[in-house]
Amino acid sequence: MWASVVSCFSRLGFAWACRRLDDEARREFEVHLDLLMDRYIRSGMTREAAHAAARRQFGNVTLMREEIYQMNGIGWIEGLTQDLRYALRQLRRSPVFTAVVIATLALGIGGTTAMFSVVQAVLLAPLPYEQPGQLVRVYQQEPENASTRYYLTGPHFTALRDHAESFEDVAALNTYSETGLDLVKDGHAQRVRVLEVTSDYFRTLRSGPLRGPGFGQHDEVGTRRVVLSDGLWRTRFDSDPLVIGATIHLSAEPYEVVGIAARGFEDPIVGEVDGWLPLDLAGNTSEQNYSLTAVGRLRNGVNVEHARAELAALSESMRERWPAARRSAVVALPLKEDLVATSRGPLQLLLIAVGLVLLVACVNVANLVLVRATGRVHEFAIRSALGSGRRRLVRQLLVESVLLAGLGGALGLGLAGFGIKVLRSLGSDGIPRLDEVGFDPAVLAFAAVVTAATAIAFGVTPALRLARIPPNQALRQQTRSATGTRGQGRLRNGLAAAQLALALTLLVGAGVLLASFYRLQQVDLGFGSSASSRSR
Amino acid sequence: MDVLQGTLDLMVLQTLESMGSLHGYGIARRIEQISNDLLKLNEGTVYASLTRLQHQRWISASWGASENNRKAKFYAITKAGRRQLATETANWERIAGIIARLLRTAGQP
Repeated sequence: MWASVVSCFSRLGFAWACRRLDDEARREFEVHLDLLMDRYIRSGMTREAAHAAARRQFGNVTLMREEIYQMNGIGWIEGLTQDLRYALRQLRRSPVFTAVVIATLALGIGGTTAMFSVVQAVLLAPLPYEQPGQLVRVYQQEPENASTRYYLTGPHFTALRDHAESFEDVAALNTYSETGLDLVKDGHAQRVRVLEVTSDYFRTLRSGPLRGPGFGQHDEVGTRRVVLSDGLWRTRFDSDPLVIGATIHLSAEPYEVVGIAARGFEDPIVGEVDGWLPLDLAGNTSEQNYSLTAVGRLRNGVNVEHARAELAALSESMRERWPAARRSAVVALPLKEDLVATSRGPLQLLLIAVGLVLLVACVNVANLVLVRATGRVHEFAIRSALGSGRRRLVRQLLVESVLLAGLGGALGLGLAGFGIKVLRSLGSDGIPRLDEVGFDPAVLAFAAVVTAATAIAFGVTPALRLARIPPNQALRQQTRSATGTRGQGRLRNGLAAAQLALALTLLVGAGVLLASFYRLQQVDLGFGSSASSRSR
Repeated sequence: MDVLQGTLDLMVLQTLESMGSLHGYGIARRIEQISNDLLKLNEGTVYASLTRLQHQRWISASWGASENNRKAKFYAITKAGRRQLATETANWERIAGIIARLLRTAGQP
């Protein structure tokens, strides 16, 4: 490993001195030849005979010099810039082809990148809270059925908050409280979405500084107090700090404003909350009323497994205390996993769908490149007859492909920016965390990789195909046939078939996707509507 | 007799190890002498070998005066070159031993 690094740097040094080394080699060879000649003259040869003999013994001087020159130089960098210039000239010469290819690739790459940015923000990026890995969602479940998930009851939550050592803080919100209240101010009403939460809610999420005193545990009897969201405070209360401590009316009930949430703070589960009210935990005494969504923050150094073990032990004592509660087991899940569980499937499907679009684009472009290559058979035959190696020809074509893909990728990035805006406005209700979508280094890296892969996907086959045609055969066909050789015809047919197959897959995939979205949005009515009869 | 591919580098390295600093012509003469004129090589290929060895930093080059009093490049083995020579020699002897044994047993059933 180290040796190859040293050798690599050493080679760079030699490449730097390439010209000088060539001159030195020439001088060395001269001295060598002279010394050989001297020897032959001493042994009695004529000058001419000695000269010929020395040359014979040394070998081809020019060839040797060339070999050493190439050994010292880094030939491929020179060749590459040459290829790049040539490729640019080629693309300028056929602007329609270039434009079509770049536009097709831009659509494919742009779509894939936009979709990936959604996947990245929703599925891959961490939650936008301080130390998000510590946040867990807590559920109750039937002890004999570990796949069930139920909300918590008031008594279970209180026991959890009082006894579980694994949690630094744990908060509950009333699952069914987000229906909203009417904020009446200056004569006109607005429906605001409010969430009933326990007093530890903001601390658990580390929501950032709260203006005002906030709730305390003494408020958990359902006192008429409210923490406003920063957005509502700005739009409806003109950012007036004096509103803290004032009384506002929600659905005709007076509420005291006790705080304003930090700017940008959002509930992880319910989107676009306008205000938070204290939860009436004291009144929630039934051990069978599963109504609370619980979120906990693990202590430093405590992992989910540890917390689960503690909760399992805690569940035992709870079972003894409330034997009537059937769903007596308490479990913790990483909050992020829990949040994205339902959107994971559809998002992955969508990513696959746009990936297929990209594939179709690649196949299209490969077809175009191939057709164009057919017109260049003659050119390549001549170049190969003049001594271009097959590898060099393939490289030339690949450089053109990479250039095309690069341009397509750059335009695609622009399209992706536009696509992200559209996606954000479309799906803000169905998908959590969609407002966090945007370009970040991961997305850019993804776009770069996709671009490179695209170049290889549409560039390699035509390049290999073209370089494989024997030059004599190509030169003999003086007329440049539009159809090309039979082998190319087969490849084109293959590409067309692949295109059709991909398009069909895409169509079916889109159908399945729509169906699954439809099913996702269907509300379970709780009874079999298909069996009910209709009468006139 | 032709030179096996890759063995020229080893021969050049060994020559520099035993003879000290030499120029290309001197190396060619030494190889000729050792092989009793049995080995006929295009002497230009010695320079390709020298270039390869320099790339690996197994030999170093410096300018000096030749026998006919002209400027010539003199090559000397480096520390890394000595290490490489030891490895290569051991390698070569092992392979030669194997081939020799193989050829001896080839005639027998």
